[in-house]
Amino acid sequence: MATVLIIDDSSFMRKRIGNAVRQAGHKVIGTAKDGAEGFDLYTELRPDLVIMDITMRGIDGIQAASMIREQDPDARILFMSLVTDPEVISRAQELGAIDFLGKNDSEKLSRIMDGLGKQ
Amino acid sequence: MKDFDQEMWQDFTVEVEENLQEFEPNLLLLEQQPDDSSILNDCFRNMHSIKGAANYMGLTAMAGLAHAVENLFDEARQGTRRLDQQAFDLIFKCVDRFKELIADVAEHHKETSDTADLQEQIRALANQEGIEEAADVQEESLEESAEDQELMNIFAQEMKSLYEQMTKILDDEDADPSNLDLVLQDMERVANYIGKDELHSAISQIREGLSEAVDSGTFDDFQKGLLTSVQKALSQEVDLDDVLTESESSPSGIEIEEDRELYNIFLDFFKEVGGPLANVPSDMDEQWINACQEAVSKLRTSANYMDYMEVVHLLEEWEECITEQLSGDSHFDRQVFTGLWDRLCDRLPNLRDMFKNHEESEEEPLLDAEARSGQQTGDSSLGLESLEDFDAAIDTIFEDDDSATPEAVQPQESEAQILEVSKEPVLPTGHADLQPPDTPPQHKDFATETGGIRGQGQLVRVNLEKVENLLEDVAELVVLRSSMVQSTSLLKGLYSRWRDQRRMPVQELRPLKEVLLGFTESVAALERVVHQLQDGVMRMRMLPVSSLFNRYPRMVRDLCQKLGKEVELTLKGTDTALDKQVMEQLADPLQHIIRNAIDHGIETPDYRTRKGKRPKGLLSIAASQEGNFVTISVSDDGKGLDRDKIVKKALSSGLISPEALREMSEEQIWNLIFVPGISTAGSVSDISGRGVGLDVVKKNIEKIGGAVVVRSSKGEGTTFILRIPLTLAIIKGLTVKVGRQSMVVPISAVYETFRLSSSEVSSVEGYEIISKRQETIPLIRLGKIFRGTGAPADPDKFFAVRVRLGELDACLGVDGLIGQQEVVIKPLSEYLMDQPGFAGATILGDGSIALILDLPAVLEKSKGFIRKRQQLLEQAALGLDHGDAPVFH
Repeated sequence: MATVLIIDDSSFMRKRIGNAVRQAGHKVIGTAKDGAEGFDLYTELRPDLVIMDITMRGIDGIQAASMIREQDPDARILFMSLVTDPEVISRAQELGAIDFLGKNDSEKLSRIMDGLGKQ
Repeated sequence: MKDFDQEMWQDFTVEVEENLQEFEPNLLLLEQQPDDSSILNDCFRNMHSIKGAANYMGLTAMAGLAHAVENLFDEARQGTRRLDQQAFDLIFKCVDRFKELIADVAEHHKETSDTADLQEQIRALANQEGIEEAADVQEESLEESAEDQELMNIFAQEMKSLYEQMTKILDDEDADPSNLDLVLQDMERVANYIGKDELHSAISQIREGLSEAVDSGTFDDFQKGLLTSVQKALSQEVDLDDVLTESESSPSGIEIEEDRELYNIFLDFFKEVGGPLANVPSDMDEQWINACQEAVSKLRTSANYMDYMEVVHLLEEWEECITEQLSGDSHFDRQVFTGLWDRLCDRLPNLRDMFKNHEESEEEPLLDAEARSGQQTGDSSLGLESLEDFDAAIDTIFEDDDSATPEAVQPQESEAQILEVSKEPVLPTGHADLQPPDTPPQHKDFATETGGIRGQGQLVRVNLEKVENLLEDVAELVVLRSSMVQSTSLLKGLYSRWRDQRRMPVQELRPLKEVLLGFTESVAALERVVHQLQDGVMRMRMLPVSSLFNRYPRMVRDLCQKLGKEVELTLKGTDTALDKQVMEQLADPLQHIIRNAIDHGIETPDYRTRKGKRPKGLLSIAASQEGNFVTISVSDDGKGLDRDKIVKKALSSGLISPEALREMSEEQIWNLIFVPGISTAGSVSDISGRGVGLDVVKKNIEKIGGAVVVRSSKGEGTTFILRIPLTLAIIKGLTVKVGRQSMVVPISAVYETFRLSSSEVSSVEGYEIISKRQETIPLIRLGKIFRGTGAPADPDKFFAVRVRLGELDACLGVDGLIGQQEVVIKPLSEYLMDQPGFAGATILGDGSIALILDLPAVLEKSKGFIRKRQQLLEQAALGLDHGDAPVFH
């Protein structure tokens, strides 16, 4: 079982992702609605995985990911976003995001979550 | 469609509704300040969230529309688009559509209409020059079903944007193959999603080709052919024409964007002061020379500041020529100056056009400004799109402001002013009324309010039903508390009796006394806690009035557009809390009053200007709490109520006699507008006066225990003041006895109580009346109007409760007064609802049930008398004796 932190500005998405995470047998240990809150929670909770959105108020997903990465180079980050801008995507990949998926890609999310359990 | 549970649908609905609730006020704000990037970002995010959630739920109509609107904001954010009036109108339409869709989804769990039409309009807006092309797309897809068409639209849009990204990547000399691969991957994904198998495999092939080329080191060659092969693959499905022309016409558009902006500012300044340079007279004209010198010196400073050295040199040359002219050394040669002007125009692109346009726009009415700016191509002019509006704005500002005199304006200063002006709203209908710079920024309150909406506190969402249930429990508790208080006093009485009668030895009574004391203390504590609990639960039902007020900015905006008026709306005290139920009851009356204010109160901008008022009318809605009441006022600075018209109407309808009118105070006359049959509107318009008059407004407000008055002053405006109880669920009441039945009179209406005997009652034309302090008050015996209460204890001795409600003043005859207490109103069972006279029921401390009087309905019974009295008084005043007159001593 892995511990997961969810960062998304939409409460709807937080809930949906949370459900998918729990269904895969993992534990949501924190949720945040923006990058700043997410970063603070990461520092505090040190989850095994962060699932985060990119478009958020204030500190966005990319900024938050690089802050998290700076503090913990081993952080595992999974972006879930509808952003299609390749610049943003490549920036996310530079940050070592383990994957990048669309918001309705719940099947892939479950696959990743399943894989996480085996590691 | 995926299988979602009920909760998920509910979550989704809440999510979208919340986003829309944030979005709409932000959009209104953005319309006023289109350059505010933080509002723009918020708007973008709202749409993004809706898109995400709708996508998740597989709701393509909403997702597609959100995507289209989001794109508009994104372009505005990137600075490649300026949101004009047309765009805002369209986005507001989208908001309405979202509301329809979400209501649909909440009920049926599916979308029953599509958004293809709006998406199409947005796209048409996106490529103004590509209107024909948009029509083509439409034609093609007409054959397909609506849903497919909409999917195709999204698809085409995504492909186009991906294609654009690809061209951007390829523009770079060291294009990164992995970036290209990412774009191709996206294309592949999109094609797959839409089910375009051929396109999907074509792109897969290109992708494979790319990775092969990278592996074999032939990437450079591959790169050259890439665009063509992608184009070829896409051409079957997507019309790339507009993308192609765009990318060809402005290869490096983005790089020079910032300079372009600065340049536009310079141009605007040039336009402002450089008139003399463009219009060289045919003969020597001293006035012109002076104006020219002035302008050239300003422009030179500005050009210097901008670092446009060539322009600076040209202007210096110009200055020299002028000096020569002034010293009289040389003959005036027009061509010297026109030559210089041409050279300037060569250096400064768009300058010549601008002065040409300027001349045109002076001839044409300003109203056309919008239309013409719409014709301009979006990309080539960047910030110049709204130039005409801009001019109009500047013109007005300098008309309003004496700084138009050349001496007062220093170049840098006026530049700063221009920048500021561009942030000010340019009005939709092209009235271009800008406030003079010294007036305070508009919508200040509104801005802070929406700021509040944008930031979210920690909130828990609770189903209203749960709160209602909790309130019911608290109500039971209140009843229990009352019964314990009653028991305590009974015990006390018992104890005193025992003690006084000395039936028991004092020693034996002492423990009893201690128990009694402890009990009394506990009951007191219980009372306090119950009170707090009750208060707390009531508070949970309370919402800030902003949840009601926030719908008005949009309404005001739409009304203004429809009526061609300009109104600045201020909301005050929006955090004042009010019971949700009260708020619901208040929505319609308030809306009616606001419509009236805009339709009949506030004058047209022209009229206002003629009257020496600011063209923009002021409308202010304010709320504040006073004890158990909330006061809401709606004031406008319009023309005020028409006293003559009201009086005329009142007289002609026979509601009031000329004599009575003479006695009436100004305020009483204003309040005649609430009497049925009197409406100030000369004509029924589309906006207000849809058969519902202010009398209904008053009735509705009185129904919730409130009151409304109006104040007005000719030419200065009208204010409606509403006084509303904080909550409907709990009232303070006076419990009275009528026969064997208990009834509750809302204490807010009780004026006084006194004892009466039958001898003090007389009757006039079938109405019972009593005289008190020279006043004649109708008496309504509750035992008579409500049958089945049982016989009165003593028919000769009873009590009067004098109540006042608006202009109604009457005494209620009751058999006994029980006391004051807070009662929790419980609705009556349905079969009792039809019975007029009762607003509800409550349980008293002793467990018995009391009916709560619906005073407006009860007092209705005395209305006939009041009118009668009015007539009799008049007759008395005229000296006519009808025999009944002696009653009125």
